[in-house]
Parts: sequence; C-alpha cells; structure tokens
Amino acid sequence: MLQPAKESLFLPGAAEIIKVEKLTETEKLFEFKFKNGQELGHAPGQFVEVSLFGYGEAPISVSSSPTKHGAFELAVRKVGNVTGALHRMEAGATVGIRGPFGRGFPVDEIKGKDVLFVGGGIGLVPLRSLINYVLDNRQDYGRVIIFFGARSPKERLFTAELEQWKNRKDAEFFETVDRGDDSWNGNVGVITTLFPKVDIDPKNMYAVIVGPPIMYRFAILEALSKGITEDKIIVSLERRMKCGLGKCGHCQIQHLYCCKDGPVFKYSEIKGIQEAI
Amino acid sequence: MSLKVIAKEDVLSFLGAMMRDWEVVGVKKKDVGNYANEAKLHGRVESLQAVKGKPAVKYMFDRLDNPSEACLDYTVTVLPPKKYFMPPHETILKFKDGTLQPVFDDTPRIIVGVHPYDLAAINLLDKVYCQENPDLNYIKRRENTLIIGVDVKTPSPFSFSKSMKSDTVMEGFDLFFADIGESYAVEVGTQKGEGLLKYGAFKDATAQQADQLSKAKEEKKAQAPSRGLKVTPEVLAQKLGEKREDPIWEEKSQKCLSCGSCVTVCPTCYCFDVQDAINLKLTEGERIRSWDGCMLTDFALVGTGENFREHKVQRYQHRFFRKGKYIFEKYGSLGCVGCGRCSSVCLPDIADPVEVYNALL
Repeated sequence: MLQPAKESLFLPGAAEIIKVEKLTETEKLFEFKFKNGQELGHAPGQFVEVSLFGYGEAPISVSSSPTKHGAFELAVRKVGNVTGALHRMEAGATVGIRGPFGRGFPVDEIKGKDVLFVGGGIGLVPLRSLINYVLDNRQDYGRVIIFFGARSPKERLFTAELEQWKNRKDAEFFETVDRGDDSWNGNVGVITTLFPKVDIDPKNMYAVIVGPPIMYRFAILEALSKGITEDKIIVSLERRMKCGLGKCGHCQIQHLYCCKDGPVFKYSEIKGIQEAI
Repeated sequence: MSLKVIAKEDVLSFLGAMMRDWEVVGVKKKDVGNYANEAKLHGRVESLQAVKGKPAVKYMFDRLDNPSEACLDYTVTVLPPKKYFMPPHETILKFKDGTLQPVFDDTPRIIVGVHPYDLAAINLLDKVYCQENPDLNYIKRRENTLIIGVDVKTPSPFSFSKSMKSDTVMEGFDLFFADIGESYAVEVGTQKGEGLLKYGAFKDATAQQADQLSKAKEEKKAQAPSRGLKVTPEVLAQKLGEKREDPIWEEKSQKCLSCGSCVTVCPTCYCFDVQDAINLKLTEGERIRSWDGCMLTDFALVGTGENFREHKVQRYQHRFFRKGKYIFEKYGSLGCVGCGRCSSVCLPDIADPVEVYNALL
C-alpha cells in the first residue's frame, strides 16, 4: 500500500537568477540556472513552482523552449506576494524551483502539421515555449502562423522576438492591439479580427490558443469556424496550482486536475465542462 | 490470525501499559458543563436553543493523560482522526539563512477507538497520499501510527455509514475491538497490532466468544439503518453527472454561509494550502501546510483576480460532485463515508449528503 518516497515533495531546488529583463510595466523576464548545474528538463507548456522563502510559492509557466540549454526563462506578471517579491529581485539572487509539472503541448502529435498559434496578452508566455520549440525544429513542422494580441502597444511582450518572428520567411506573423495609441500603426481590434486574414487547410492544421479566460470563448469559435476540429484545438488553462502534485485541490476543473491532467488540454477534452472555459 | 478477547475490566490496564511506551490518543468526552456555562456566560441562550436536536455531548480525539479518559462507546468525534496524519497546520520545511530543512513528524503513536467509517476515510487518504506522488509527511506519520479500531455501539443520529458501505471495514486497523458483552472481541489486522497484545491480558477467543462476535456482526448487518442513501455508491457516482442542472443546487446553495465547516470536519477532505511564516528579523521561517476547503470563497482565486468558482452554487455543487463522483472515479471509493459530521455542523442545514443525493436520485 505505502509507496517508498525518498524525499519531501515540497523541497525545491536552488536556482540563481542570471538575468532580469523588463518586458512591460508589469512583466519581467527572469532567466534562471540551477545551482547544481542540472537542466530543468521541461516540455513546452509545463510550469514550475517558484519558491521565495518567507513569501511562498507561485505556479509560473516556463517561457523558454527546451531547445534552449543551460538556463530557462520565466516571464512573470507582478500580481501578488510572491510575484511582487520576485520583481524586486536582481541577477545573482537565489530562488527555489519545484517542477517541471503538468502535461505540456503535444509536440510529437503536431509534428508534420501546420500550426496556428493564437496568443492573447500574457498567454504568449507559455505559448512562446512552443513557438520557439517549433521554430528551432522548423523542418519537423508544416506551415507556421502566429497571431498575437495585446490590450495596448505598451502591453506587448517580447517585442524584439515579435519583430524576429515577423521577419522570418518561414512563418506568418500577425498582430493586433485592442486599443492603439500614437505610436501604433498596426492592426487595431480584438484578436479574433486576425482570423479572416489567413486561409488555412483545416485538415492539416492544429490551433494552439493561449490567453485570458474570456479570449478562449471567442478564439475557439473562430478556430472551429475555420474548420479546425475540436481535437486539434489546444489550449492551456490558468488555475491556482498550489502543489503541482494533484493533491491540494485548488486547480480542479470538475474531475480534472489542471496541474497534472493539464494545464494543456485539447478542446475536445474540456468542451462539455462548464467550469473549464 | 486468531481472534482474541480482552475483558472490559482489563482495558484500562492495557491502555495504561501502552501509555508507558507510546503516545496514546483516544476519544475523550468534552466537558459539556463548560460548554453550557460558556454559552450562558456569553448570553447565548438562544444559540443553545438553536442547537437543540443536535447532540449536546461532544467527543474528540486527543492525547490521553490518563487511561480512564478514553471512551470506547461514543457516537462521533467533532474532528476525525485525520488530524494525526494531516494536521490542521503542519510545518513541512524550515528555512534559515538560505538553508532548507524538510520537517517530518515520526512520533510513534497509537490511536485508540477509531470507528469503521473513519478507518474507511483513512484508507482513502492512504490512496491519495501514498500512491501517486507519495507524500513523505503523510507517510511518516502513517507508518509510525498504530490504529486500534472499535465498532460503533451507539451510532450518531446523523450517521449513514451503512449505506456508504463503511460501517464495516476489512483493513486499515492494527487491532479492532468489538463489544460482545463482558469482553471485547479483538481482531488482529497487522503484525504491528499483534505486537501490542503484550500490553494487555488478551486471551484466545473461545468458540462461544467467536460465535458471539459473528452473531453480533449478523445482527448489525440485518439492522435497518435509521437513514441512508437510496442508491449504492456505484449508482450515485454513475448518475450524479446527469444532475448538474437540477434546481436543488441553486436552491440549497443560496443559504450557504461559505463558512467551510462541512469541509473542516470531513474525514475525507484532503485539500490544503501552503503559506510561509517568517520571523521578524526575516532570517528564518517555516513553510506551513494547512487545511483548506473548496467551500471557501477564495479557494479557486488566482493571482490576476479571476475566481474560477466565484459563486456559491459552483462551490456547493463542486463539493457534492467531488464527494459523490470525482473521487469515486479516481480512487474507486466515494469521498463520503457517511459519518454525518457535515450535517451536524452546518448552520443553515444544507450540507447533508443524504438529503441532497436522495433528492437528486
């Protein structure tokens, strides 16, 4: 009955902040390295628990692709205790990291297929791990289309990288902002206004959609109306994943544990579940 | 293993002998006099009226200082013995100047007087905490704790454990006591349990005593329960999914105070929160795991302010679905053992699984 357990599930590994980059007024990008030299060994779409002693833990999705070796990146919005404290930290500081946890994006299943990425606001953070993974293994994938939407130009994340994606010959990049300003010459409108800009072959297309709860309802409808089937629409859901181990109960979506069964789900898996989206 | 017996008059010395070597936890009767006095003192005569019909005598699991404090005939305790395996608050890590120390409790302990429904609950917790992602804090406590079960002689008026199939259990105890008149018949469940026999005047049961026990078991089986579910746990888990839109959810949940009493007293609730506590100099502190409950308003709240179960009706329905369906599907037994504790503590009287499930099915 009792399974052997060697150590506490709650013991984090020590990781050093090696770089901090301000992304927007509320988001910063942190680069970490485990002090023992180990790799995080994550799959795109997985998350970690960031541990600041005296503050607590917060679940944060990994933003870098596993094709980046030696370090990993977390982009963090300042919203609470732990994330607020992390924002005050600088390179050289040490934090605890538990994980990686959860089910990531189905990178093997989408191999050889066309992929439409739809990232809304901070949803780009987990999505970026997959976008860069696909771009780093470009020969393994078909057409790559990237949609990105932010509320305003000031809230655009990873601006240098957005520029690179835009300039790539082997990817199609479209972006929009909900409300423009004087500096903005691009598209204005919610992210769903980007869908009519592309023609796709739905038989060969996966749509990977990550954004705030409200965005899912509309973006999924758009993807469906493009003819993409429910099992080829992939989302990543946000919940309060306190333990990452399928126990604490906070992240439960009906019978599913977001931390273990997700955070990545196919739309076909969560379609009938009222609480999910 | 053979059936043992111990004379009722020898139980005290058995407990006393164990207490010399072990920390022994038993069921104590709460001082009801004080309870009434305190209510009077605060002028809460009305509140005493309000609890009329609910049991005035309370029992609790607590460390025994004297063997005579232990009750083997009691209705139900306020909190289940779960608190010895996952305490309301438990330090899981200590940190000091950048160093980390995991913390475990491996105190050798014996819990005396655990009822079958609470054993069934512990058997479920074992699945949750010892199978996938085994939790060393739980496991260390569990491995160092021996459980002496006792059959229910006086059921709580709120109990419906028979219909939850948890009024008898086959495992989860080291010793199990059943009242057969002058003596207790004692089943030995484990090697560790057998090791406890040396502390008391146990004898092999005679054929007649063994017969008495089987008769008592037969009688218990034949007894019609005062209340219970209309359907079996399997049918409940199967059918509940079709009842999501029933008006009962809205109707009952409107009265919910979101106080979390129902989940706090539940022997199978295992959700938790983790918080840090740090000293004033910010040099050392502890990471503490505490009980949490899905009926509390901010349980599904995330950092950005989104609350994924914002409304009472969502939280209320989640609790019943979790108990009656999700846990069954995941672990093969219901997340309800029929102890009736939630029904007895709910002020607006909406927590009773019998009432809700029977109205639905």
